[in-house]
This record gives sequence, C-alpha cells and structure tokens, in this order.
Amino acid sequence: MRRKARVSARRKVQGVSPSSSTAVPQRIVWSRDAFSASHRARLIGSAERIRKLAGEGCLGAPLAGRNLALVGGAVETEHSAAMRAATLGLGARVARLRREDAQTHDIAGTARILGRLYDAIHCEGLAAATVECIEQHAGVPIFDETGDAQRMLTQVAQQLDASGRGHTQGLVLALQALLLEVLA
Amino acid sequence: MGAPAFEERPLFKTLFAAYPDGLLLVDASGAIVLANPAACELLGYPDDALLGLPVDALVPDSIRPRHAAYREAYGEKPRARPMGTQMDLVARRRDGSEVMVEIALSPLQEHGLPYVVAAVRAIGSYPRVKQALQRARYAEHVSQFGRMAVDVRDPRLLVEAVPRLAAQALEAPAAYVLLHADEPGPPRVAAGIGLPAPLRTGQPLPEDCERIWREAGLAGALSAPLTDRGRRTGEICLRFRGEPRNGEDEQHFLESLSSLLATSLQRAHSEAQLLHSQRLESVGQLTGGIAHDFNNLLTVISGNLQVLEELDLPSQDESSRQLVGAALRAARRGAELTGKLLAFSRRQVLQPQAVDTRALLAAMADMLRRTLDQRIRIEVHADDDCPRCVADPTQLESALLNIAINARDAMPDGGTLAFHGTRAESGQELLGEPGGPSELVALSVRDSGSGMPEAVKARAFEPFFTTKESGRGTGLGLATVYGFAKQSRGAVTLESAPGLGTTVTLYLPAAPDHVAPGDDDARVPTHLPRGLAVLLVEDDAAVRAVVQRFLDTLGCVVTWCASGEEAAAQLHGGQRFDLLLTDVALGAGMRGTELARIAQQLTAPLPVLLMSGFASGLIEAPPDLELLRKPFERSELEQAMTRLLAAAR
Repeated sequence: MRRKARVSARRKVQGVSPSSSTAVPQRIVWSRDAFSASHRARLIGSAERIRKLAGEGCLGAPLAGRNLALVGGAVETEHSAAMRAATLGLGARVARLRREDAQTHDIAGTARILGRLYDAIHCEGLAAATVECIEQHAGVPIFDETGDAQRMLTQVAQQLDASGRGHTQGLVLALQALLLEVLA
Repeated sequence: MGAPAFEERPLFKTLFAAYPDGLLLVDASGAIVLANPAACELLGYPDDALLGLPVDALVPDSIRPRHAAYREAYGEKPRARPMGTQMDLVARRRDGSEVMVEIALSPLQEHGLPYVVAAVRAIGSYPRVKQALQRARYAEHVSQFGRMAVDVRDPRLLVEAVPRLAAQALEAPAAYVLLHADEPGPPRVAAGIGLPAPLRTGQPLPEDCERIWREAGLAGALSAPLTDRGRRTGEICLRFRGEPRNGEDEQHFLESLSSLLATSLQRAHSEAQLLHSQRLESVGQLTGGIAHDFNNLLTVISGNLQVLEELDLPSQDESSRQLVGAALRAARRGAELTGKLLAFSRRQVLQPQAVDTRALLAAMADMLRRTLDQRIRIEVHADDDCPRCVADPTQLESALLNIAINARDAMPDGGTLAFHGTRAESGQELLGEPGGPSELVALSVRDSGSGMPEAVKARAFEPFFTTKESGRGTGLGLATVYGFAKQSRGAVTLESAPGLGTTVTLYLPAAPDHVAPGDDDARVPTHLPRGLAVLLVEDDAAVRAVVQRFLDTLGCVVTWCASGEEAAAQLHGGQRFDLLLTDVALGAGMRGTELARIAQQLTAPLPVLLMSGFASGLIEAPPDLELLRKPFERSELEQAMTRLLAAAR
C-alpha cells in the first residue's frame, strides 16, 4: 500500500512540474533577475494545476523528504508565513533559523553546513553580501526576498487572486509553483 | 527331620515352569531344548515355539557373530556366571524388537549333562537401566540436532527445531526459544510449541508471562541460557504441568542443546557478517574505482570552470556568469558525492592528526544550534579526561554531521540531540583486528527520535540503503561514517529501537600524549611568493593543464613532467625548484611517493605536495607528507602550498 502511495505521489508531482527544459539551475532564485513574461505564465499555469489537484485532494506530498530553511527575524512576516505554508503544503519540512545565526563571522562555514542540512534556503532580511556568500558556499537554491523579484512574485500572486483567491492564498500558490520548479 | 519327600521330577518341572526369570536349556550345538513360560513371554514366543531354535535366533543381528564366538569359547571352558555382574545384554524378541536383559549361565556338564541353563531376566525397568536408556535418548536427540546443525544453513530452521526436540526428549507439553535483541527490552519468542494463546512466535515475551503459564496449568519450568562469548543471547525454556524432571541428566541435555544452538547461531552470524563485509568490499572496490576516475574528471571540469569564471566576461553577460557559477556548484556537489563514495569504500584521502575532541564537539554543537531547527535541543558533554583522538578533522566533522542529519530527520517535531565524548572503556573488541590502537575515544550522538526497527538497523550502514523517499537520499550517510571510522582504525556502533531514539557511537584511536594537535590554518600566510619554481608531475594531460593554469595564475614558474622518471631526472639535473607538486598514481611507472622520497633526499630537500583522488596506495606514503584531495579548487591548492612552504621554513 505504501509503495503504491509513493508511486501515486510521484505521478502527481509530474502533473504539476514544469518540463525539465525549463528547470531553474541552482542559483539565487528570485533576487537577481526578474521573472520573464513567459516564466511568469509558466508559474501561473503550474500554480493553477496545483490549485486544481489540491481541490481534488490529489496533490499529495510531492516534496516529501525535502528540507527548507527559513532564515529570518524573530517575528514571522506575511511572506515568510506564506513560504512556510507553501512548503508544508507540498510535504516538505521547514526549519526556522534566526537571521543573526546566519550572519556570524564564518558565514562561508555556516553556509556550507546549511547546504548539507537543507535542500533550499529562504533568506529574509539578510544583507545582500551575506546572501551572496551563502549562495556561493551552500550549493543549494537560495530564495532571497528582496528587490524586483518580490514585486514580480506579488504580480503572479495577484493574477492568481484575480481568479478568485485571497492574496495570501495566491502567494502560497505562486511559491508552491516556484518550489516545485526548483526542488521537485 | 529330613527334607520333605517330594516326587523330584514333578517338583523340578513345577519349579522350572514357575520360575519368574526365563529359563532356557541349551545343548552343546546351541539349540534350545527346554524353555519355561517366563522365557516364552519375555521373548514373545508361544508355548514350545522356542524348542529346537538355535539360541543365536535370540541375539540381535548386529552382535550375532560376536555371540557365536563367545558361545564357542564358552563351550570349551564352561563356567557359572551369576546374575548381578551388570552385564547388560540385549535379546531379540520374536517380533524383531529388542529387550534389555541380564543372563546367568549354569553349565550342567559337571553334573553329567551336556547342557547349559541360561536364566534370562528383563532389566528394562531397573532404575540404573532406565537412567541409561534415558541418557541414550537424550544423547540421540542431541546428536540428531548436531547433524541438523551441520546440514542446515538457515538458523531460523534450527531455532524452530529446538522446541520440538526438547519437548519430545523431556516429555514437556510446551517448549520455546527466547532470543534477546541487541537493544534493551524483553526477549522475543523466536520459536515454540504448545504455547498458550497470548504468547506468539516473533513477538516480545509479555511481562506477565508467568501468569499466562500458570493459567495454562503449566507452572513447572526448566530452562537453559544461550550465550555468545559470555553474553546472554537467549534461552531455551520448557514448561510442565507439575514439577519437571530436573536431574543432572536433564540439565546436561538442555545445556548440550543450548550450547549447540548458540554455536550454530554464532556461526550463522559470523557467516552473515563475512558475506556482508565481502559484499561491502566488492561494492567499495567498484565505487572506489569509479570515484577515482570521476575525481580526475571533476578536477578538469571544475578547474576549467574556475578559470572560465575568472575570465573577464563581458559585464552585461550576467547569465553566462550565473551559468558558470551553477556548473561550478554542481561540480562541487559531484565532488562531495565522490567523496562519499570514497569514504564508504575506505579509499578517501585522510590526513589524520590529533584532534581536540572536547573543542570539536563544542564547535559542532555550536554550529548545529545555529543551523538546525530551533525545536531541536542540542546538548554536549565531554568528560574532563576525554582524550584527544587521531582523525582527519574535516572528515570527522563531516561524519558527525552525517549522523546529525539522520538524527534531525528522525525528529520531525523536534527533540534532543546530544553529543558525548569519553574515553572508551570497552571499545577494543569492536575493532576486531589484532594490533589496533590501545586506547580509544568514544564520540556518541544520541537523538530522541523515532528509532529504527531491527530490519532497518541491520542495514543502516549498508551503502545505498535508505528509508527516505525515493530520490531523496543517497543512502551513503551512515555508510560513509562506517567507512571513515574503519579507515581511521576505529569502529562505529548503532543502538536503536522504535520509539527509543538512536545512538551512534564513533570509536577512534586516542592520540598519544606526545602528539601535538594539528596546526591552526590561521597562522599560515595566505599568499604565495611570486615566481615560485614548481615542478609539476601529473600523467593525466587534462588534469595537468588545469593545475598548470592554476599555478600560472598564482604567479608560479612551472616545469611539468608526465612521469616520475622524467621528474627524477629533472631533480638530479641541477635545476632549482622551490616545490614539488606530484600526483601519487603516475601510471605504470614510478609512483609519486617514491619521487617524493627522492626529492626529500636531495642535498637541499624539496617541500613536496602530493595530489590524490583516492587513498589506495598511500599506505606507504610518509605520514609527514602534505596531501591535497582531488578535485581541488585553486584556493585550496594555494592554501596547501603556502602551508607547506611555511612549515618548511
């Protein structure tokens, strides 16, 4: 039974994953370059499929076994909460880490350990140089919530909201589409 | 008064007929001429059916020739042989069955008659005979099990046979075998017969098992322990309705059976271990070889990518820079993977040194407090007298991190992760090889997570075995820990049970007091002097080109050779070098280690830096030689060279 469930979960992943030719390489996912129009369209399409599968109760846990670190402040922001909800909704695990702990004198060493412990790292409120250093040494995708990227992601979320979702729900869907694109 | 006057003939006839022992009158040819009713009954013949039969017909086939010889000798020198001489003989009954008898012989030749009277008495019910028979039966059961132990390779079948055999021999209504698991907890009922319903084979023994037995009317018990080198591994138990027969023979029988079973289980365990290690060795050889070749390829890939990254790409070509960066990171992940393959196959390049165990554990705990989920509480305790250990510090840290990652995964809702360092009291037996380190340090990592069932625990150190979701784990985490421990002349153990968490303990050689701790990299100058004359020896042209490029960008003046012989000629040729950088495996010719010895024996000994992608063949390398693991980055090459030059000054 368990084996069958796994197979079915993987099928579901295929159902919502973008094609391999569009996979994002390991890099800072959304701080450097804004989403292109076509990328935005892909994300929206993927998010819609996630919403449909979730509505049918068929989404499963396509990121089961993955671990994501949320590095941020003591108070959880709306964006960080959406990221946590998106990650958990896909079956991955989330660990909340304090921003101060990632900004020690040995950022490179910390980043290397983070890279061993997690499949992706979400940074919130970290200095650009720190994110750069983490990205260089962790070797896993970094979600950095600064600059134009957030604006673009918000646009995707709003477009999803226009089809009848609340703002947070739209953001969660957009993040889930992005997470699947990078980690599935 | 004289004796009463009897008619002699009828009297003797009556005496003969009424005598409770069997009486046979046998003539000189061995034929039976008279037999009383007791003899007929004892030997299973109807009246008069014995008459005329040769007495040999009453002797079992197996001893008939010996009996014939005895009878012949007796006929030549007949003498009286009374009962009670404890000559237990066997007689053959008419139906072929055998009966234990004692036989008295009375020759009548002195009385002028050519006969011998044989008085035959059944002695099967004598206590001493009964005991002997019982012993023989026990011995037969033990020998039956012994034969089975030789023939049957599956230990489960042996375990299953024991209750039946023991119950049969001791006439017990119920019997079972208990086996202890490695972890604490009740023993498991491995096999049994006549078990009351609440007891099931394969299940742990319930705490209230005595009550169950009492309720089943089987309060009497007899048992013998199973032991393996002094350690109790299980028990054979029998239950009886009343008080069991518990004599010396019964105890001896049970002990023989338990000893045979324990030995068989021990043999099966050893065979399984041998097979397992042979399989691991095969997988290790295969993956080690692949990893070695991959390391050379990765050196070329990552080296060229580094060179490309440092080229002055057009500033607007941001995506090219990102693509190179992504490829470099992928190459690093590839190097990590080959590192794991080499680690579990015990072929990684290790640079052991004395490591301050207490400081290492403290730093590790500090790092994990900052990087693990805050719901995981980190504890660290190192004994005051915890010695330093001898290990490669980077790989030791990596091994502890691998264990911590497994622990993290076992505690999805948080828990406690505890590190403990101590002097090992009883780790020597784990090494399993003579001539190992005399003192060990135990570094244990305990989690309060879900623990492992026995089946998972048994395979936990196997390479490529994972319980994680498909595609989520390489299954190399604990395998690399195992390989690292073994390659470091240590060992690793795992204690785990469902719901009780897991403890992994690394045993590493303790550092002798006189060994100084490893150098602190912080003291090493960070840049190489310009114009450093380097003799580069590498047989792989692509790797050589990358390393030469690195050296060029570091401002070195490079002379390269493709073989050890060529390089030796250069060294003896009078040209001045500041450093020898050589691969260890240089094709079919001179090895890098041999070349290093030549370089060190020059009038002005040359600092030597070895490069290697795997550890095989490094055993003969002088321990004081600096080693650089392939694949390496330019910065790592620079650091190794500066460290070497600083040490040579």
